[in-house]
Amino acid sequence: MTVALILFFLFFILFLGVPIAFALGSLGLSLMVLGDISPMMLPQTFYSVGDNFILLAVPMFLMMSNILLKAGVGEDLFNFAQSWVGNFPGGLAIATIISCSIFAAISGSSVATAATISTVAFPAMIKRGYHRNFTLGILAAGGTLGILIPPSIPMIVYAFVVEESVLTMFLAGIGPGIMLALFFIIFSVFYVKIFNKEVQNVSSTKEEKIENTKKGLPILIMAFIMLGGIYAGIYTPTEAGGIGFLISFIYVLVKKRITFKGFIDSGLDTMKTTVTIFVIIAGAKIFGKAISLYRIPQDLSNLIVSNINEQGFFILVVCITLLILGFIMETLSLILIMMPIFSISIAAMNIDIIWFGIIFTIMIECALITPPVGLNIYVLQAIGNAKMGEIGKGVAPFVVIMLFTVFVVYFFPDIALYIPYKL
Amino acid sequence: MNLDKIIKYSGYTAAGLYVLIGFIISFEVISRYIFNAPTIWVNEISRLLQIWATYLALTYTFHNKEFIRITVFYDRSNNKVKKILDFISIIFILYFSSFVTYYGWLIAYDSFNVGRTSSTILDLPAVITEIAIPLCFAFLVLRVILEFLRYIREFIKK
Repeated sequence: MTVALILFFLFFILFLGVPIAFALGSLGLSLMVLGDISPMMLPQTFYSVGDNFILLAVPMFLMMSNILLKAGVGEDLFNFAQSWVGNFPGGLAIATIISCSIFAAISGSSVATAATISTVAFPAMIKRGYHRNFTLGILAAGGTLGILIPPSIPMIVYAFVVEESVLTMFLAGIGPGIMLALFFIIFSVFYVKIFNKEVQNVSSTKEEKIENTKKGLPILIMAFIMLGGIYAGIYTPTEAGGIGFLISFIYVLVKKRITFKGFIDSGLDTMKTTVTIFVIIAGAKIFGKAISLYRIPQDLSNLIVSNINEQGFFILVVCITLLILGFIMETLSLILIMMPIFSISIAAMNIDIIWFGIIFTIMIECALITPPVGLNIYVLQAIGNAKMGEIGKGVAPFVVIMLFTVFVVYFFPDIALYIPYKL
Repeated sequence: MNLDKIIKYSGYTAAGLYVLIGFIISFEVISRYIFNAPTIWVNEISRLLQIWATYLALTYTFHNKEFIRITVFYDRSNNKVKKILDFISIIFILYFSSFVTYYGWLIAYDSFNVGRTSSTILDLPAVITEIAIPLCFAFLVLRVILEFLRYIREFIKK
């Protein structure tokens, strides 16, 4: 009963538009006061969130992708991909997904990925006769690869919440990330061949190919330095973020690709995103502690374990919950509200926390593109001057593909777990 | 200098601190691998800077209405309802932040009195980082109270 009441009240104040961090925090605080527990934990939680070297990876990766976004490397990447695959059927769609995947390997944010690639790819695809809805859909969906292909900010937060290694999460994201990108490409080729035959292809001369490859290669090298270094154990994910920031900073400086104002703006954007993420983490931690003092996750876990005896059914229930909540909530709040509630159940059901994390990540990718609330939708609305309805129609098939991917990862856990555990 | 300017500069300072952290972290990696001289200060100083940067930016974030919230219902309301919803948010922020400020102050004051230091090689006084939380939250509370009074005045005028 208490469980239902607390959850109802939480969602009620969230719907009133109270900032998520403060809604969670206030509710946690009130529960503590009612339960006669000292609120001394409040400042301590804020302290421990700030005083954390793992979470420091968040601003580092953000800064790197913001700088590269402001420097317009999207164009380099897109031209690079386009000059190689532009003359395939659905060439520009393939180029879009490839350039999103490459940018995803240096960026931990889906919004940055969507924004970087869309500014170039959207006008290019529309000009060559791709359907508008399809173009909006593929760009919104392609952007979400940013959080599945490492580095990934939601994965850092997830790893922090469940106290697992960020590195393992990153490695587990590689396989499913590549698979999802391939599914997107296969779908796009079929779509273009069947419904969108009138598109023009782009063929490039050998000189153009060399020229564009020269421009795109530095980005690939950056991704390799960062991820290779983490994998080889040369530096931690946080340090990789720092190194990534430094090389992207030097790169844009040497190439004179960024103005002073652009640099300031990328710093400000990093600050805003980091603060909003960190206060939600702290709020969710306070809420999580408070409900565990009332033994809510434990009770819920008992309830789940005594009624659901199959892993698959439990994951199905979680996925459906995430899909529904994903329409109205964005990614990090989903992780931070759901995980404290479910973590004990996951352990009780004997589910691999990393594998679950990957499934969770794909589900929150859906949340990013399901209207009315989805950060990638806002990006596309701004860039393509599009209506919510157009984007909604465009993303529908891609959401189905993502759900199919969850299905595949569920039945073949090795797609995620082979690289971190068995390689 | 007015409050708006102070808030703006606090945001810029926070952004600058993140840039600084980026440089010192990469300095550590370079120093460790290229000059074979790992530092003892980077890890701790970067965490210290992170605490200050993050909470310094709170007021800036509130001022610019950048906190993440669920806007499904909010966006579909008329202006009058929006005002009421904003007012409710303000009360929640005020309630929560006052507690954080007060208890944060207790912790920092205690550390200062006892002379507690960080349990690391640098042995920094703990109060340097702990004071960031009550100070920054007090700044936020101040800004939120101003907003609160503005709403009250508006309601009375009607």
